Amino acid sequence: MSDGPFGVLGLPARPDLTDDDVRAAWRRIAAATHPDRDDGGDPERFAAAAAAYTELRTRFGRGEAYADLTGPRHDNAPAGTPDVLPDVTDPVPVPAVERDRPGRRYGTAMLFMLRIRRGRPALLALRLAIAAAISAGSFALVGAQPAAGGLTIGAATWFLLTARRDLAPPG
Amino acid sequence: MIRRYLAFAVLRWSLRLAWRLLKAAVTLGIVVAAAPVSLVAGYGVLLAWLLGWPPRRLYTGALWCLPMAVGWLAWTGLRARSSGLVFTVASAPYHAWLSMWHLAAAGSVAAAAVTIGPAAIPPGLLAGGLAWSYRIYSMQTGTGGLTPSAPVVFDVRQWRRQVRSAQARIAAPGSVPLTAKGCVLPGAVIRAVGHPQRSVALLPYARLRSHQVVIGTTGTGKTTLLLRLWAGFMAIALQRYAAGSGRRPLLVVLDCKGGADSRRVADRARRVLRAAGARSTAIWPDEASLSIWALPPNQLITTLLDLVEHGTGAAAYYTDVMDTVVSLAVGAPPGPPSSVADFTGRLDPEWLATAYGAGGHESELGLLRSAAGQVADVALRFRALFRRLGPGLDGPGTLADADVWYCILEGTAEVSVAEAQARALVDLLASYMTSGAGRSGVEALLAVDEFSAVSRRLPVWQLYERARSLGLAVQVSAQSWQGLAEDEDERYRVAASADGGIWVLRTPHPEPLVALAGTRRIIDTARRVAGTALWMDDGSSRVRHVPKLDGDIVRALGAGQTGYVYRGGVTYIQVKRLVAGPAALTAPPAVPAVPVWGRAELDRARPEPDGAGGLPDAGPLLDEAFGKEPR
Repeated sequence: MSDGPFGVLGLPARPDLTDDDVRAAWRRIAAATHPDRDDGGDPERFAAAAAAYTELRTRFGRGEAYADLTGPRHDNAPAGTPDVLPDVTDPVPVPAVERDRPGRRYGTAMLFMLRIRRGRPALLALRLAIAAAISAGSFALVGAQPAAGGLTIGAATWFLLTARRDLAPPG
Repeated sequence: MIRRYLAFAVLRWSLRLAWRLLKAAVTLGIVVAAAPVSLVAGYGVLLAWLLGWPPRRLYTGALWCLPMAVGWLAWTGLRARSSGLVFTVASAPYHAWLSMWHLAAAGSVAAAAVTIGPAAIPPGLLAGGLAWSYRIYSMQTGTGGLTPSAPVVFDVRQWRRQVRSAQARIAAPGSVPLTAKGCVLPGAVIRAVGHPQRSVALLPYARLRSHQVVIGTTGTGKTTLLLRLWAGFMAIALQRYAAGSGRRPLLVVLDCKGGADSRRVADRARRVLRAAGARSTAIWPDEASLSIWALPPNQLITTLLDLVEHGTGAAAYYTDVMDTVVSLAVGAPPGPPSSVADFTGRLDPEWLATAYGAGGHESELGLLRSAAGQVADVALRFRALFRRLGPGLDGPGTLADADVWYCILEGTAEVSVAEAQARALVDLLASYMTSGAGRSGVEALLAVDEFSAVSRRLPVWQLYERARSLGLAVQVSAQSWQGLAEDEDERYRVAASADGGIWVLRTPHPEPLVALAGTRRIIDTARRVAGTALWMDDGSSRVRHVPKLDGDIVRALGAGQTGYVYRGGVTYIQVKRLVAGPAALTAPPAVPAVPVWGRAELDRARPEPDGAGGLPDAGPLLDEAFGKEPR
């Protein structure tokens, strides 16, 4: 996970930074990278630092940037990143105009795998095993009879209806 | 005569016994003959009893078994000869039943169960639902159970199991999303009285656009509920806005408790609401400010006067004097004041005399001469007021600057200040909603948390009356019924106007809310007890009105449990906690070339006044490019 504008200014991502902290960091980077320097500076880094300073110069802006960083866990968070809060993030629909969709980045299959991983995979596997056992057991007991087919459909229906509880919400 | 009477009595008793035995035998015969259906029904009832399910759940289960039955019949039909298709399909249950008995007799119990399964499960669940429904009915009417206390024990036990089931449901990650079908889902339903019995509570968006009241003591999960409602409001409103069917949402929260706890909640609210789609959350007054000087002059005068607490009786004279002085200061020819300094600077007889001395203001000058002796006192009061209020209302900033305004009022530490701040903020919101920008482009929700801290001087019920036309919904939360307002009339006015519903969490005095929720009619049956708690056959029934909201349940609600009272019904809900994402930041920064500084490094890195340091002083260059740095 990136530190966003805090990282651009070389600051620790903390909400309690003061205006002076941010200004000092900005001036230091700006002095070192300004395009009017004799050596030409580093215009790209200067522009990034200027944008970061604009974002972080007020306490409100720092709070917003910090909230961005500490929002719902990104899909590419390293495995094992600890949760401060033990629960999972609740499913929250995000308007398409506001956020980029994970599906765009990962594809439906990958997104589905993520939902399984973040949900309750053990319980999901147990449900699947029960449904499969009912189906296989039915055919094993009575052969290719209508009753076995019916029970297989029933088991599949039950699995489809209940499995979504064990999947993490999309998004 | 006695002998004949005794003979009649014996005959009557024998006939009754015979009739009962006959009924039991027939019932037993049916149960045995339809053993698979009976077993499924019994299992369904047992499950419903153990998990506190409503009968509807078994009916729904039976409905969802229809694909299985249809698949089974379709396969049976495919195997049949075309001439006898209808007969084969119609007689399939009978043949399955027959095969089941043959297989069972041969010792193949598992094969027998598989053979009859598709035919027995749907009717079994249906029968189980009916039986469970009858059991509940008999307990509610007092005709069931072996002992007189059975209905009470049954109800208490069922409540416990319903709570357990609801808690299990909200623990499942995908079972209670925040929104679905344009509704907010606050949590899992524990029990519904007078409302549809669903597994998950659905709160239509329109209810959040109406006034609501939330009552619950500390530690009952009030904040959890409110956060979920706010996030749901924001998520759905933004979806509607993005789809072009709604206006931009604005959530204004007045947290009237204050202190570190409120700031923690504000941080949590910001992250939760950001996840719900809110672009920005302004935390007032810590991070953002608003300007009361943006109010229209007439409104500004009223607001300024309301900020100061006035006395009654003889003090009314001074109120009038203050009104005059403030009106003169605000309405002075240079235009309305733009800041606290500007306003307090005007509270000076000489300044006012100069401002109105240009001619054409004889009446104002007359008023000034009358009030001149009091202007200094008025100035003193306002200077003291604004010093206590802090800079939060002195701008810059407007409500349009953020999607969410989380306003922290120090209601616990400084009640009078919080009251004044709340009054000013509500006036600002009302003014914003009546202005062009607010009126045409915003759907606003004003949530006042810990309302009791400011209820003395914040007449929310007045807002109620004009809020709907402004597109503003008001949500008030208090720790108790008494915290809703100063007197009983106002409390009832606030609660009765809550047409979006009342949320009741654990509270020790729910009686007024119980009365507001209304009653329902139940059949109450009295039976005669013969000796040691054995029922006799005779008794009587009568219609009785019982409260829909059970006061004893409300007093015993656990954390995160709430009763939602709406239109003569109550739904008890286990609220699902809405958790913001992790606050841990473990990954390295995006630009590794720049070192991450600690506090000591930051202090060392501050530019020296004389330009000394590791890097050349680019201060003049930067000042030229970005303006002079304030020191």
